[in-house]
Amino acid sequence: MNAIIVECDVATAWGWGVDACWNGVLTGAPAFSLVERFSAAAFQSRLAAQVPGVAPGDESLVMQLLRPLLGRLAPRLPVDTLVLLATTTGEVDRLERAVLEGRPEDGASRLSVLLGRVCRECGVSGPGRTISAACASSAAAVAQGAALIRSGERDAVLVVACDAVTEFIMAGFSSLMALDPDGAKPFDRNRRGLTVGEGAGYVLLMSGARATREGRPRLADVTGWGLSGDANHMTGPSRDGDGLAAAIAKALRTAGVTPGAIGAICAHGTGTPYNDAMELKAFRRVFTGAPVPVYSIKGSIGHTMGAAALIELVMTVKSLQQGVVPPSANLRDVDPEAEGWVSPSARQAAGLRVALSTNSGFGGVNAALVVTA
Amino acid sequence: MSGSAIIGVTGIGWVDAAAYGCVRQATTTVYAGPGQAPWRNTGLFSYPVKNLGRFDAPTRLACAVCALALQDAGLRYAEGVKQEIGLLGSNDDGCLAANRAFFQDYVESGRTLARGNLFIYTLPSSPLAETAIHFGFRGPVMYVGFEANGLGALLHTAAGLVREGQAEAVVVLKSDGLEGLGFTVAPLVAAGGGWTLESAAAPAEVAGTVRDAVTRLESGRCT
Repeated sequence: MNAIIVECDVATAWGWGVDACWNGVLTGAPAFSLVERFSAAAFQSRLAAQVPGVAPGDESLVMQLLRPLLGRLAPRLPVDTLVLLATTTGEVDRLERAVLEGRPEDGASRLSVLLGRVCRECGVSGPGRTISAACASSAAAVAQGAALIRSGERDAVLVVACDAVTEFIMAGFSSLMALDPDGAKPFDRNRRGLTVGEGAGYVLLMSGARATREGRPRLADVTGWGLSGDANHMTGPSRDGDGLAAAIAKALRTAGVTPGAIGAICAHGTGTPYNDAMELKAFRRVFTGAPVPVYSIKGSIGHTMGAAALIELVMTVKSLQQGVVPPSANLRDVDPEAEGWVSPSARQAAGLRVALSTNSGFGGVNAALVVTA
Repeated sequence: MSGSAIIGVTGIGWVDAAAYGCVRQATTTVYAGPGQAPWRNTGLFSYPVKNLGRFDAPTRLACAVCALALQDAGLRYAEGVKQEIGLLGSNDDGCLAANRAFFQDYVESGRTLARGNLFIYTLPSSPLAETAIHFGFRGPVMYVGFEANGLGALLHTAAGLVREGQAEAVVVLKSDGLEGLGFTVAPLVAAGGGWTLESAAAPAEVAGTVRDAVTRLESGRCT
């Protein structure tokens, strides 16, 4: 039994809605701007991909992103839906404020508190779960949701994902020298790092039976998923791509397809030298025939961390629906290793039926999702 | 893996403020004095944990509980050998203490330079990732948080990962403060003994200390 995506929505630096993001990604241009929420002058980069209209205030940044999205969804959401929340740092701006104001942190930034808020906003009856697997968090959550539906344990799962541009995150990535001062350019010969982005979104997964019963549209199916660990290093990926290749192999196996079925790959593509090189090695290891069209949207909407995989899944759905492989955003000078795989331009793919989306993160976590039109 | 195999809990390790042990093997080691911890026992791990001294407390605890859960299940590991084992973890606070430590240090340093070695622990999955690296786990690694006790759901998630072929076994860690329980979830074999998922989750979910849970678990083995 496949998990069917019956509804989705996102908020990204291109604005609110799936089409805003899709159209922005298709331009191949970055939606980066100078950070003004806090001083980023000392950081490796002052650029970030920020959602218009979101600013520090009484409400946390991620709740500013989630409340409009979930508010619109709630009336159509079955009360027995299981909520899986994917995030890395959630409402960490609450902790920032407490530290900066010199008062004790009262636990308001705990992920369990955010989970409660999200469930209440959705109006669901049961307890939800938070899933955090670094920058593959929302892929892991989608995998969990799809597995629960395939096993028959659940027939409606809402995966919600979010992370925001905060001083906490920018300071951290800057300390690791992981930011590209000029903006992320994944798979570019001159790439130097990532650009932090913020985003939020959801996908509502249902069993086929329930979707049919409720007259829900079928946007695409999540047919395969694979999760793996590198067991290698906390901040650097396995150099040979072995861990990601294992995740892809599991995803293909659970989908019941061969590598030849995959028509396009939405890569993690952070723009860091090591990540992108590792991904290409993994792709070459699995896809031994002609190069498969690969793209990254992080040169457009930045690295949205816990939300990245979910937004990329939604873009994969759009790609299948439109028969178009998006450009690898902000790509100017293709890395020789990526020649034939990535392109700075959109590519027509009228027969595109099955696509892959991959993610990796701190600690060597890897995830791959197979999506079928 | 075969869809017919019964997946259950094949080993349980535990750590609290006074002792640590393995439930199936019925072993308990009481600390010799104050300031002791299981990771100070050179015999706990098959080989030294690289950078253990630099880990934060939750990460050291995760490594120790994982070692005990593997030991109780009779699963061996060796340096440089990777295995298809996954790791799931849960606690009440995520990485709140690590977040606070990182940002407080950054602010006290003048809000210009942050410490990367503190930043890498500001993910709920970081202690799990360090643990997976030490033990050579190549299976799924993720943190799963709940509003309330979710150990049963966590064990079922682990069993699902084994059933799907995402891993051959999954270690589940549940910790709070300086106490932790670790469960090895794998296909049950008749000779090995173990717990069904329910008979492991129910006693451990009752409010109380880890030692209380261990006492209840000792009488709940199914085979």
